[in-house]
Amino acid sequence: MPTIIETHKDDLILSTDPKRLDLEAICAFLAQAYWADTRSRATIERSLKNSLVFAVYEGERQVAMARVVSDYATFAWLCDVFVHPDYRGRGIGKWLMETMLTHPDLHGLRRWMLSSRDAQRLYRQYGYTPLQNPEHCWMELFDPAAT
Amino acid sequence: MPTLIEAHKDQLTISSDPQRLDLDAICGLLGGVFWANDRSRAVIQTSLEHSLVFGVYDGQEQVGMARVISDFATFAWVDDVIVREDHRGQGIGKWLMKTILAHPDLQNLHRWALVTRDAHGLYRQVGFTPLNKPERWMEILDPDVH
Repeated sequence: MPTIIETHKDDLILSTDPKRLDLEAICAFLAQAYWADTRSRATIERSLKNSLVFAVYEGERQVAMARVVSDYATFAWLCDVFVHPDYRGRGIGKWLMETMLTHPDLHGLRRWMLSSRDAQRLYRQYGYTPLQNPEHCWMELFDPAAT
Repeated sequence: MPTLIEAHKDQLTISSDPQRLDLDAICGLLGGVFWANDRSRAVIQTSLEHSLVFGVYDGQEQVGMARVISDFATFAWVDDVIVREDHRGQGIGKWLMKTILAHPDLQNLHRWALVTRDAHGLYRQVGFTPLNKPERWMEILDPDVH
């Protein structure tokens, strides 16, 4: 199991403790996200179980999340980055990114990946770049109907 | 833990049983490919522990592999697909990919992805396409790391 980390900023807590995750809150976040609004609760639950999830709390209330799928050795897929609308503009996305990229079990990976419709500017600040020659090397098998 | 599967063809076996994996053979396979030839044994070991690894065996001898990094819910990354040189040209790669895509814990995923320099034909045959929206993808690549 990956190292559990916890950091604080003002009245917010960022934690990777899977026991703290609030499934209801996460389902509500993802229902509002263009990339996951049809994802079933069962799929969400399974995805959380098999990922390293970074979550932000105000008191007991979960207000943000980001999820990493990794082998903790060579590769990490970053996904489901979501901040509750009431909590945007407070640097929570940046805080999540900084914390993920410095997580002790995600150190020294060869490659981090993500796919995003509109948050490229955020990710650029942390070293993400567009793919070079994406038409040559990259392939996907995409199922838009998956739930 | 993901479901263990096994498939047979002539004297060859594909197995997802982690206990069958031969670390020495895997280090040998990875040592022979451009994308992993400087990956340390420690990193390889960690990567195997946290992936679903499909080994290809000729009798008891491991002659191929593929590794899947997945949350078993939404996403799978295919990596380290290798067939030992003396076993190429027998359709093992295609058989391996079909076996991976049929794994019961890897169904109904939103997205599979991989990067390849020279095996596009193989992956196209099992359903992979170029990225639909390449402009959406980003990476942090550290070419100096394994």
